[in-house]
Amino acid sequence: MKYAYYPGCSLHASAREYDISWRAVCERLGIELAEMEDWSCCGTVHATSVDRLLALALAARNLAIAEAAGLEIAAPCSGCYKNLRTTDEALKGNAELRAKVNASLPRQFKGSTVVRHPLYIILQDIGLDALADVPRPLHGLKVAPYYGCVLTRPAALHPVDDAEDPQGLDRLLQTLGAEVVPYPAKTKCCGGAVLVSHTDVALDLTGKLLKQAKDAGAQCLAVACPMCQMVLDAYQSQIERRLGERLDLPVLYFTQLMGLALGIDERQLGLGQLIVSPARVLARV
Amino acid sequence: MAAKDTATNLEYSELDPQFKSEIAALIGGLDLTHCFQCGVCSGSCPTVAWMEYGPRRIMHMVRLGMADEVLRSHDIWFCVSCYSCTARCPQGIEIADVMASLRSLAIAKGLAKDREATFSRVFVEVLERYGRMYEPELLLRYYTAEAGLTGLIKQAGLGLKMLRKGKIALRPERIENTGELGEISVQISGGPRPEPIVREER
Repeated sequence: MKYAYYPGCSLHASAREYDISWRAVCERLGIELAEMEDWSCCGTVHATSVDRLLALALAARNLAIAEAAGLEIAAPCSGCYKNLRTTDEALKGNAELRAKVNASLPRQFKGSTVVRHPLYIILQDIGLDALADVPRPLHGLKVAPYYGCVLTRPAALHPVDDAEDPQGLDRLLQTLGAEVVPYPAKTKCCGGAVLVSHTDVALDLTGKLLKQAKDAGAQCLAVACPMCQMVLDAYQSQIERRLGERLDLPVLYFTQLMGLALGIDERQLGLGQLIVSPARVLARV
Repeated sequence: MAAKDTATNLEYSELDPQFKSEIAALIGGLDLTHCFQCGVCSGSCPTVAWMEYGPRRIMHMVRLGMADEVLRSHDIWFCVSCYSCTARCPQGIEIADVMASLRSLAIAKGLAKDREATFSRVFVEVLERYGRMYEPELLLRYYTAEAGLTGLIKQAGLGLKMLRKGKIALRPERIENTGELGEISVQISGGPRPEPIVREER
């Protein structure tokens, strides 16, 4: 089982713990990752706002690198995943657009790869049966799964989960022994797209969802996107000031929780890099 | 400010009947006239409270040809691209992509006037410079362009915290040929982009 690994800019900077823990989990499960050579930024929502064709070309440049390696892509950032996936679908379905984009690229997009998110690689290619008997089940841990927006939207040509009420992360966490806390905001947006330009918007949106999760009894959140994680974790003290109440909700990557359940050494999971410390919560597991 | 009466408040000469086709062409010829104004998009939009019109009215304004009002609107920059509207539109209209097309057209025509327009523009500048994102430079350029380093100073505590956690790279990562993305950009879109107009604070 081998994938072309597209870490994206965040996993090389603000989300190093996601990179570290995802690699550790892969090693334990026998998944081989070949980091794509000379990958470039996917452009995220901002390039699309400036110039849609450029955004398509930026994503296609990366798709072509994976195609040359003959591998499917593993993209852990939901933003990258969405950009690469929707570009792949758009160019596969539109010969005229593909020709236009290819005319700008040194290496041609052929349409021979598939873009996958690690969560669904685990669910589909490893399967929950293989995780049914983990060495350190997360018993007693109440987790609110947070999907955010573009992990499941816009709906893929071949959807891997439901856009309104996805279950993948819920099922994974349950299999690992955690208690999944239901709350309405699990697919609501964190506002990460406007975090810097309209910070109050992002803090309002995340404030609502963190409070919902807290009120539902969650001890921590599990996420699958570095942008969501940053708003929920690094900005949590600012959110608390706005709400006028203490939240103290650690926001862990699902790969960190998986790593713990699989018995991987905590130092290999980057837990110390989280801003809101998960130590108190994890001590109970 | 109360929203304008979309159908009557403008002279015919102020409307652009080609506007809807122009937008449709940008996202692959989608037929925007399928919209029957049910409002599920605005009802699903997480940021509609910050908007003047909301996505439902924006869709109708596009149909009516209110190009200037739409492209100068802050609403299109408050769209967080969460695709809730797209997922729920009973007519299958890709509303979030329409919003993105409106943003790019607003920048192309020099009508964009929102902090997020500035942010998007400097994001692409940094991206084209290194091939990968480099947050410290992105933030510095953004706050400089917005003539407000106070915003940056306000987040200094957070920056320090992230630096200590190893979450901020001290040096930019680059792709092998740093000119490559700039060349792709010129190939696919031609010349330089107009500066966004940044005036109002919201």
